[in-house]
Amino acid sequence: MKVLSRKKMIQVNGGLLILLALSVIGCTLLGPVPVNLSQALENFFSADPNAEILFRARLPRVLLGVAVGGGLASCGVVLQALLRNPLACPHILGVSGGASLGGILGLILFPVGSSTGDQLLVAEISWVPLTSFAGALLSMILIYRFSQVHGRIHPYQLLLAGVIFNAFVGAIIMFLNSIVDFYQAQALLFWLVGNLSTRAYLTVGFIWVYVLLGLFWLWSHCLSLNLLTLGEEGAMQLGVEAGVTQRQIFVASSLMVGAMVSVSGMIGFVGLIVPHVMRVIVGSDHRLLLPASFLAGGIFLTWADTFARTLFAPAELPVGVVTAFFGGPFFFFLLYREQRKRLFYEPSR
Amino acid sequence: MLLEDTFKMRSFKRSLPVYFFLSLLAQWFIHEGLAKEPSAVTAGMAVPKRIVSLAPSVTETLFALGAGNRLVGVTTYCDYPPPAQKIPKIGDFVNPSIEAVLAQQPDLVIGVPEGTDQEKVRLMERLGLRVLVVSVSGLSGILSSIKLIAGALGKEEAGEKLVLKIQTQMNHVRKRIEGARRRRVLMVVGFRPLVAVGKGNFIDELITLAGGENIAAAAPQPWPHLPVEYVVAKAPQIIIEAGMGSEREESRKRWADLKSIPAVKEGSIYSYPSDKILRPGPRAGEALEELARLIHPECFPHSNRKHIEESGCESSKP
Amino acid sequence: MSPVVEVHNLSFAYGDQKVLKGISFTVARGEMLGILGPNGSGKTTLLKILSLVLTEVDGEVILNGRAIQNYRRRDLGRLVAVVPQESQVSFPYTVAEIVLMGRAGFHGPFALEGKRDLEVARECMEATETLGFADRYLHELSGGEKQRVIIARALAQEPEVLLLDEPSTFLDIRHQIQIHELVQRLNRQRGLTVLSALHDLNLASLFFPRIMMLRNGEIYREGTPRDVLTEETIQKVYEVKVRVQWDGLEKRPQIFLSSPPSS
Repeated sequence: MKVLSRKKMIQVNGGLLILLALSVIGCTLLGPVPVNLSQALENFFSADPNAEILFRARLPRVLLGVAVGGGLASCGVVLQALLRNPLACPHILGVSGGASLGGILGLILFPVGSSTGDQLLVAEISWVPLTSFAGALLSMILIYRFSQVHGRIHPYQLLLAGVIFNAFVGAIIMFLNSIVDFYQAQALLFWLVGNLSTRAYLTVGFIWVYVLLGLFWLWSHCLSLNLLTLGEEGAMQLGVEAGVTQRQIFVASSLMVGAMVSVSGMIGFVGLIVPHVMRVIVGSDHRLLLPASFLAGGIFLTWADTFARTLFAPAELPVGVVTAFFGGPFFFFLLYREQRKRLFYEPSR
Repeated sequence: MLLEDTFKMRSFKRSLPVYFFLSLLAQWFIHEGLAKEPSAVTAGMAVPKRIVSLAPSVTETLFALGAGNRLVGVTTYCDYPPPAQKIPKIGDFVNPSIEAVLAQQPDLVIGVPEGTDQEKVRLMERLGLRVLVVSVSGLSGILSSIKLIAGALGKEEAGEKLVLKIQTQMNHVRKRIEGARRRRVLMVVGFRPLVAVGKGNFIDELITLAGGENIAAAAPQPWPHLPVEYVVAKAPQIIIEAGMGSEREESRKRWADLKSIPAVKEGSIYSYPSDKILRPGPRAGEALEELARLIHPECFPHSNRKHIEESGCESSKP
Repeated sequence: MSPVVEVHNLSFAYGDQKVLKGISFTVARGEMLGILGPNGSGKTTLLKILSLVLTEVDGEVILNGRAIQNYRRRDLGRLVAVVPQESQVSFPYTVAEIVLMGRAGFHGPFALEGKRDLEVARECMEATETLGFADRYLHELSGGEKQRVIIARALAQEPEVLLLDEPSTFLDIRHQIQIHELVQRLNRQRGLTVLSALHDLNLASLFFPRIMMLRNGEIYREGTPRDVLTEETIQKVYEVKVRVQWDGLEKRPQIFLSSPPSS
């Protein structure tokens, strides 16, 4: 009888953790510019270009990529389980869009301008993630409401609601694009497609805190998520407080998405691809799927970003372009596979 | 009834994304097929009296040629010279409004290919407007565009004079910095993302003429996004933040962390708030001088002099 | 012995629509009660109320001597297990994983299943003859096999009461009988109290010693199959004309359809 055992948990998560560590090291060492590692280590504390490239420019970006990639994948896992829809992910559902709007509003309401480093830093770790969180939460609630038909979540309705919401957000961002100046417009577009850039360690640290908080909060609901596969009522009959679980998951994932979007814009497809691949590898038990997807998401995004930084060196692509490149075909592949082997388990009548 | 049934079929629902994608593709093909090439201005047409400009550089050129009073429509970005601000606006640089243009009943519309939506240009021609598209890519492009515009206005002499003036300004700068060692320069127009001036940009030529070596010249795009590590690796001696509207202190703080960069170490981070340098127009000569003053301050009298050891140019010649 | 289930004057409405109108009944430990009635008579609603899915009710529901509102959902899950009409799982889980879901009430959210959980699961799968599919995916199984797995999951909760909501409606006749025989066996061997909502009058008659017929949210008739399944009752409740004949040693009534209305 193959069931989830402690051994499997340790093996899978341990293995992924090692892979992640290797990826962090590898991606920090890789880049459009060659770096002399020994020099960098020797001159760690002095103003040496090698050290600065590795530890000031690349490493914070790689660490940010892990947090964002892991966070997006985790939210994808959880939203797919909660909404019982394999196509759910923060991007498609419009949650990232809502977070973006929230973040943009935050920047407008508390103008930060092209400001001093300090002011911007404070904004980055406090109210921008918070307004993004509010935006994410609101959009989550809206879309959830719209996708219910007689109290049951209808998968196509859900996707439709998400697509429409995304179009709406896109329109607002384009409107903003038309009234800001050329350079701010570039920044907006950059946000729209999703990017990772070098940030201060303080910012990276705070984002990690938000993401880890959210992750552990979500982890406590993994058993309930397993049970929810039997339907809301079925889960309730097994002891799950479905309403409470739903609310907490919405809040926790909105917190994560808000924090991530505020710093990296709308990176798509990570929350879609990674959970699917991991589900095939480790199974559907969320107690393992969640942490495994977090680690795998971190690995995926850091490599995608390394790709983005090196492909057209010296210029860099926004990482959202790379994930979309992989994600788009993968999405079609998913739909195709669903035709042959039922992924959407619909009732027989 | 049949249509409803078709919609209900699962396989139809699933193939919807494919249809959508195909229809997008089809639209694109049809669009390109119907598009025409923009036509050139034929000689022998009447001298235009009502002109609409679709770009700030064109507006500046027209004023510099003394034809500013013929302008009846400009973009929202056209703010120089000051009289231009009073002229009715016809939309912005990237997206001019066809209606607003038509409303001014121009007999000539002048635009640039690097920026204005070419679709709009084609549309204007189809609607019977006379459109002149002048390329301002590169310094030579700027100069020839001035001549072209002057020609279309029947002001060839003024055109020659203007071109000469600009060339003189540039020669003046070249003489001043003669002998000075090239300095590695990075010019950025945005910080997040880090948008730099690349090779395909006339400003890159300006930098070179001003005695600088653009560290982003390896990127062929005009406005490449650069990763921070690239800047660290290329160790520019001067960093100029152009058109970002920020104060010098702010610029400094942004880069403060990356102490290995010579520009940071020596404090040679300048912020250049105005847009002047970014307009491929008649002020290119002035822009060049200002750039040169930033890159080689020691070659200019009365400028913000910094003690720089190896320089080479003869200092403080009036 | 005090009854396991006591219902006093239970009423429930979905908005303005009254579904249950003051019903009262008790169920003794180890009893098998079949609940019959046309669509909309309140069968499913009643089962949902008994499993705390619907909570805003008028009247009293007492389980094991305690009012149902005083139960925490988790604790109720260890007393009452529900087998729904059909199960659609949204993601691929194996049979073993599904059965182990029944053990959720026995450990914390972060804990993994322990030895005892695995033992119980194995035993429940044996009892329902599903141990052979333990590592197969639920969606690969046939309807009958799936229902047996769901029953195994319900058993894994180690409940005292088993609620079944039309458990064999979507199954063919062989599997219908298989399921009912299984439930009967569980009732006899383990002393499980069983309440089952049913559509099929004949199966109810064969397998349930006590039947409750609901009509418009009220209990129309209650008693043995012989008491309840009479031609007039069926005419009144279902508005169809049937013939009832007694069958077998125990003289269980079997319903025969009369000729179709048109001829």
